[in-house]
Amino acid sequence: MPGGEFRLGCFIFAVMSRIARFKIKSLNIMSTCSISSLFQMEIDDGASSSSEDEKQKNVKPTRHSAVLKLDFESEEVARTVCRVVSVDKEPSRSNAVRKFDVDGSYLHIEINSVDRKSLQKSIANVLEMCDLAKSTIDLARNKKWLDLKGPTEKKMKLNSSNSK
Amino acid sequence: MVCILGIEGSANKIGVGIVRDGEVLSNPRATFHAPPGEGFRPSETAQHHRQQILRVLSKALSDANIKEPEKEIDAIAFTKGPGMGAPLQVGAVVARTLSLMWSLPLVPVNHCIGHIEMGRLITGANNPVVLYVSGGNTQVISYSHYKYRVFGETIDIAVGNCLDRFARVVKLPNDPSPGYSIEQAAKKGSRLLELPYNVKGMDVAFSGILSLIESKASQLLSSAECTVEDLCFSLQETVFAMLVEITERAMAHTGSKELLIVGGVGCNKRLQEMAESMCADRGAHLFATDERFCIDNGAMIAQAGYLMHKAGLKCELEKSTITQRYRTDQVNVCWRTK
Repeated sequence: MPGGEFRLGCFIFAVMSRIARFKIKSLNIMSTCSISSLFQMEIDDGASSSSEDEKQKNVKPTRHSAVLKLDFESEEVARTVCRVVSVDKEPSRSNAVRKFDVDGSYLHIEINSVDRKSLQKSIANVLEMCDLAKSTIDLARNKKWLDLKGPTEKKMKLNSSNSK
Repeated sequence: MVCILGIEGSANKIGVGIVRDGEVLSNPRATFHAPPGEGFRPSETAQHHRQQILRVLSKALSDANIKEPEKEIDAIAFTKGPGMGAPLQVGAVVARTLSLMWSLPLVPVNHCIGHIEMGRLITGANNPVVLYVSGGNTQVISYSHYKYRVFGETIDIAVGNCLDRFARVVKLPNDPSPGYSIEQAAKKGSRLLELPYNVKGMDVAFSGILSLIESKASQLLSSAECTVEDLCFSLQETVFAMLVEITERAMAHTGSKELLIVGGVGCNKRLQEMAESMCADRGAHLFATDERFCIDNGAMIAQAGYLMHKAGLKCELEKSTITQRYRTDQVNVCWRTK
């Protein structure tokens, strides 16, 4: 039944949206607590140095959306990728809004946008960054760089001259 | 013993460096070259960086003989900005991932301060006036009261940008770099073409020079009045003289006896000659590094990250954003004394 499937899809969107908002709220709370308790030194004069402050967008009704469901084969990897990729905000010229959620080994990404170009670019960027994060996790976990050492190269090398 | 891994990818070079207590253990790098007549664009550059960064990272860890990074490395430094947005994001994503995988703190580094701190480390300069010249930046900087103060800078395009875009007009190769191609061609030039000299107090402007030499290039070359080498020679003499003038003005103002040249254009031997001549006249000392560290590299980010980490600076993962504009004088330089 087409109608039934459509309603079920809306239900899933609604649930995911609420979950995402709750997670974001939790993150904000945790962030606030850690800042107030640690009295962390400021690295720079905060205003105008963060890309978040550059974001001054008029709120427009979103017309296009996409939901991505990526399988990372373990919940740990999915959570790591989610944390890594969700830090970056959309560029200031983009009209897209992203929401991230982790469900088991799956990373759910919902992107809503005013125009199709922003949606397309946002999808491409998030997929590329997820792939990059996953490849980095594989490299770090398997320590692939150790294979680069031949059996004859056991001494420590100083390669400060190693550049093009 | 403190060991820092640094990731740099703000322009067309992707580099990973590992620095331990002032010693550079490894510093591999990969450069994206656009075809002659073209510049590198953000999306293509980011694609190159995504393809190369893990290979460069593997080489850095291998060359530095790192076996247990969780124990041997103390922090991950990355370029927060300034630079191109998409390439910056590639470096930041890898840095964040490594930070989580190895449970190491993250240190966001200003690209300009990376250049300055590596220059100070390599040359041993104590408190120099810094001339920072590259494709994206042109600044005269001096340290004072926990800030790297910008005394003078370009008010439009960077000097390296001017040189690179002129190289496009006359189709010089982008490999190894357009600035290097101009430098080699200028050695064969002899005729000095008169170009606008745009020094404005402590500031400089290069867009007028670029517009003039661009508009005249095809005409002069077709009529055989001068050669490409002459144009390169003239452009270098003019823009470098401007840089030397504003630098000398800053040295006079601060009373400094040291000058440090950093950034990709700092590789240029002609610029170093002119600066050396000015310093000799003033009784000052010129410090310059070679192309291993003048050009963007991961070790400079690691070195600045090392100083920041020792001073207790770090940032949470959720705040480790990148920014395309990040002024040198925004950073609180709490690793140096007043």
